This record gives sequence, C-alpha cells and structure tokens, in this order.
Amino acid sequence: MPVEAKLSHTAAMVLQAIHGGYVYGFSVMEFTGLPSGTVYPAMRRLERDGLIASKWEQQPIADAAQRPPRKYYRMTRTGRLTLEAAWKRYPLLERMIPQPQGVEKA
Amino acid sequence: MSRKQRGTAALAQLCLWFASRMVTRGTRREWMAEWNAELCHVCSLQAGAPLQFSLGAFQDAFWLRSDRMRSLSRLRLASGSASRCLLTLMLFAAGGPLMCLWLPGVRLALSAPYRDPANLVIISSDGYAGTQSPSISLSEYRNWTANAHRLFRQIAFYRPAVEGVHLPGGVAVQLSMGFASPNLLRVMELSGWHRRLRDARAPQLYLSESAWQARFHSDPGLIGRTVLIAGAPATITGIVSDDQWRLPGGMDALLIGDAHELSTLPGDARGFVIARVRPSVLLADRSGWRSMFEYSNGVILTLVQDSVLLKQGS
Repeated sequence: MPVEAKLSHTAAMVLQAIHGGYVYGFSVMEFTGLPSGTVYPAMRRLERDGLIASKWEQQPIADAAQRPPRKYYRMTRTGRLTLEAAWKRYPLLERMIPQPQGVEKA
Repeated sequence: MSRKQRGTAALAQLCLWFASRMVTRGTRREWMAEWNAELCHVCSLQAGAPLQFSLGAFQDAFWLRSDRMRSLSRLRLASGSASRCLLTLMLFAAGGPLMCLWLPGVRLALSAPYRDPANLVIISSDGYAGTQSPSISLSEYRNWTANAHRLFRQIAFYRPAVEGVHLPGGVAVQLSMGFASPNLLRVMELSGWHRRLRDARAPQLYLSESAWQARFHSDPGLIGRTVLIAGAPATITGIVSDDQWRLPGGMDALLIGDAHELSTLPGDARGFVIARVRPSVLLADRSGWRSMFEYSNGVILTLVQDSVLLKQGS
C-alpha cells in the first residue's frame, strides 16, 4: 500500500497514540510530546489518507463538562493495517506508547 | 483564572483568529471550532501554555491551505489533460469531414440521394460513360422499353435541350432542360424535395434549386404557375434540391411530358436513359450484361451509386 510506505515516524507516532486511546489533538500532543504545529497537520494528513476518522463530541456531553464540544479521532481499518506495517518499520513505536487494554497485536 | 491567564487566553484566541484567515472559507468554521475547543481545554489546565499551543495553529492552517492548493493543481493538471484530449478529438471530428468535402470528386463518395441506388443505372453508349453528352437514341430506348422487361423494372428517357420558359407578363428565361418521359421521377424515386405541388397535370416543369435561386430569385410564388415552353403550356410543379439533382446533362429543369409528346420526337434524337434494374438481375453474373446488350452496339451500364461499376463495350 503506498500510504504505508509514506508514513513518517511522526505520523506513525500520532497513529499509535490514537490507537492507544488518545483521541483528542491535545491528548496526542501530551503523550507524544510533539507540538501542536506538528500534531494537527499530521492528523489532517492521516485523515485525508483515510487512516483515521474524526467525529464531533455529542453536545450534551460537552454541556455537562461546561466546555465546547471537542473533535475526537478514531483509527480506521486501513489505519490499523498501516500501523501494523509501521510497527515492523519502527520497532520502538509500541514501547513509546502502550496499546490500550484488550487490544491484541495482530 | 487570573488576569494574566485571561490575557494570555485572549492573545491565544487572537492568534487563532489570525491563523483562521489562512484556512479556506468552507472549512474555516469547523477548523476554528476544533481549535477553540482544544484551546479551552488547554486554558483549563494549570500547566497549560495557551499561547504556545495556539501558535501551532498557523502551521496547521498553512498545511491545510497548501494541501488544498496541491489538490487543486493535481485536479487542474488532470482535467487540463482530459480537456485537451477532448478538444483535439472534437477538432478532428469536426474538421475531418469538412476537409474531406474539399477533396475532388468527394460527392461520388456521398451516399446517393435516391432510394435503392444499387439498382438504379444510367445507360450510355461506349465511350460516353460519365460524360454530359447524350448517347442513346430514342429508338434504342423504345426498343428496350418493349423488349428488356427481364432486365429492367422501369426505364426512362430524357433529352437535354435549351428552351425559353415564358412567364406570365412576357418575361422569358432561357433554361437548359431535359424533356423527359412521364416515368422519370418514378424511376429516380427522389426522396427529398425543396418544394413540390402535388396532383399537377402534365406537362410538369421541375426546377433545380440553384436555377430557381439564380434565375427566378427564389420566387416562392413560382410553384403552380403556368408557363409556355416551345409554345406549349406547362405547370411549374416542384423545385428539386441540388443534392437530388445529379443527372448528367447539366440541366436547370426537367420537363415531364406525356407519352404522346415523346412519340412525336424522331427516332435518332439522342438522350440519356435511366433505369431500375431488377434485383434478381444484379445478383446474376455481371459478365452477362455484355451479351444482353450486344444487339444495341456496345452499351455501358453505369450504376448511379458508384461512378462506373460496369464498363463494358463491344
């Protein structure tokens, strides 16, 4: 898959973070240590390539927390396959950001 | 939230607003909503750095803008290539036939305007095929009319001559016209008319479209008028479009008379013979044509559809 070959280390880190359950832009920043100017464009690129998909938080949940609704991201099937390929390319990726519980390595 | 924090948040908000100007109008609202929500979250954190966070929005906005430009240029390149290809094809499609019309003799390649042209033939003597000179005598035509039923379903004759057409009011126009047997139009089976008067009595005068335009100034009231030709009355019955007007003889008009008028002409009067060949005859061996017409001293049959399909002399 051409997308797999083009996945940079930064993009792989962001993808791994989303896979690890860090579904908001700022949380991805926190766990990767990357600045906002790097994380958000990386997420845009991943979404454009169909590796992740975004969805707006439901308004009642945001209202309950007394804040505006946030946009969260989830990994797609293609993203999962790409990430599995990235694990082979970047073996330390899995150690940097642990997988969420209940998710097994393919 | 302290005053300093509020000031920083306001400054961060201002940064977001400036950065949002780089984002395309269609996605700006959603982009701003996402960054605002994230900024709100950052501001709520004790260790948050809202200004530093919002500065990253410029990079994000710039990436969105440049990605869109890249997509558009890719699209432009792709559509430009397709458009050029389509335009070239259209030019060839339109220009090809137009250029072909300039080639000499291209009208021969055009489909004949007559019905069933495969069985329509012009008969001429040896050496006269494809010429504008009449070569068949009226006596030969009479002979074939009486004896060649096996070959021809119908057979017609016309003799070209120049005659004056006298219009009411003393106006006379000299025309080259063909004096034809009554069945000529039936033999030709013209499929298209420019104008035609139905149920007209013989003799009928049919004008070519170009003659009608050039000699009668496209007078629409001409149809139905009675004119005098060689002292005899005739009715202008129709105008045949130029595409249909392919008979040899260079005629401006056809005068379709009755059988009696043709019988008054001398036997050696020469004209053109046009005939409908029986389809069963055409299916036979074409070398038979020669023997069938040996008695008429070397006759050539020319199919109207092709230039010269059969050219056999004695």
